[in-house]
Amino acid sequence: MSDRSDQALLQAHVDGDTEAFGELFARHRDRLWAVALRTMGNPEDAADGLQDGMVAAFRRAGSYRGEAAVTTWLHRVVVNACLDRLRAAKIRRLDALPDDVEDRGTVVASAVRDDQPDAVAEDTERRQRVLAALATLPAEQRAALVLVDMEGYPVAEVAAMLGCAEGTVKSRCSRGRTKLAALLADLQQEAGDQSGGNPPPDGPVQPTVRPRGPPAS
Amino acid sequence: MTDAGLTPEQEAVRRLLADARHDGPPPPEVVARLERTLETLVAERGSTPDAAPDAPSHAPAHDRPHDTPPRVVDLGSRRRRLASAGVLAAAAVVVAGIAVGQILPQDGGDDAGAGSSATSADSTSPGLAGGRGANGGARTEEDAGADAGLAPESLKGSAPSAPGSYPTLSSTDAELAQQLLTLRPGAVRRSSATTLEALSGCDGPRHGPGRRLVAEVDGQRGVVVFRRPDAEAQRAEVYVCGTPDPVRTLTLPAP
Repeated sequence: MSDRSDQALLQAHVDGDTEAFGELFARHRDRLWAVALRTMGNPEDAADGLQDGMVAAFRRAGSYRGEAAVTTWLHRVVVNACLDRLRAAKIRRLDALPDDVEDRGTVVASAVRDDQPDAVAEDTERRQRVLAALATLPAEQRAALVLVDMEGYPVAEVAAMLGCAEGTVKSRCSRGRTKLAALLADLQQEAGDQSGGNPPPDGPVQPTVRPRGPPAS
Repeated sequence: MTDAGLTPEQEAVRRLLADARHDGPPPPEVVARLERTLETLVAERGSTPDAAPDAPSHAPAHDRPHDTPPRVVDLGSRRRRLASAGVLAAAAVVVAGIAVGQILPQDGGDDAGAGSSATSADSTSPGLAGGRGANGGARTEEDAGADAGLAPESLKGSAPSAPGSYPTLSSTDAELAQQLLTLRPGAVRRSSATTLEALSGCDGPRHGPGRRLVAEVDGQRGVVVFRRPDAEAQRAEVYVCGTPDPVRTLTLPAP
């Protein structure tokens, strides 16, 4: 790996450097995979979407104008590839549980609680429920929630990724959360119990985990 | 994102979503697949210098999209040259077959002439002309006429494109869906479009089933494939000839 910046790598690729794009994509591959996986809902479609996005980014690198960070541009290309696939395939929203419930994220998250099988099972079931509910949302709402609430990107950056206004991102997130809240009402109750009782009726739930943010690039 | 304005329910959903986030790299098989794809892209791109002299003959420089790699033009031009040569060879074989049929003694019957024609076609150009020659003399004349009529088109494949020959599309056009809706009635069945696609340098069967519309895509020869619609929608894929993947996929309202 070189010390070249994302922008330098992309420019080097445009200029004919055969190694630059591979290095750039590998640098962001894990994060792009996470977005593709949660947007598509299963590993097979996520692999297709990520590959489509990679091919598009490789071929269209010359269209990058430097108006946003390279990682934002990469996310935009990959998310658009995923959304194109979702629209084309018209994946049924009420499919069975996503196939990736046993994916590496679940395994890694569970591994730290090997001594608490009940808790592991509850975690796994909760993730399955959340992912299944997420899969019922329209693709655009799902993509917005994946980027904002799961990946922790700022709304402004997500707007650039999705090619829409910030207000549109907020609106999609709000509508998506409202639908999920109805589908996951019992889980919210459980979460409230675990944190020591129901939240006060007039105040927001205090986050129990550190807010996620994008990685420093 | 700020948390201001979120209801307790929405905040709880945010927390559930954050907990369901995926951490970790893609599975090894996905990484391997991506690396293979990248190697292919790099290898194809590496063949660009060979194609550079041909590139201007297919689209004016100012018409070519900035982000389209020259390698696509390279492969497309090769296919067009092959397709042109194939069609010309087929036309020559059909003409030769007719000539042989006229020269042979008439008392030998039509079947003998057709057999001779078929043999000639098979031995010279088994891919395109062989099947047609086997259909008999009368059919051969029809095909000869058809091929003769299409032959000038084949020459366009290796010559500069005639402006306006096909609809001009841009894969980045925001109005592309509307444009395709307008053009959709002109799409033809795959079997009908095969010859036309061949003339345009497209490998039709690789694009799968669906009605075809030959077009100029991003300044190059291309084809739009309209998939079988369901009750509500129809998928349309826009290809640049010579590339296996669509440059744009759209979902249109069902016809």
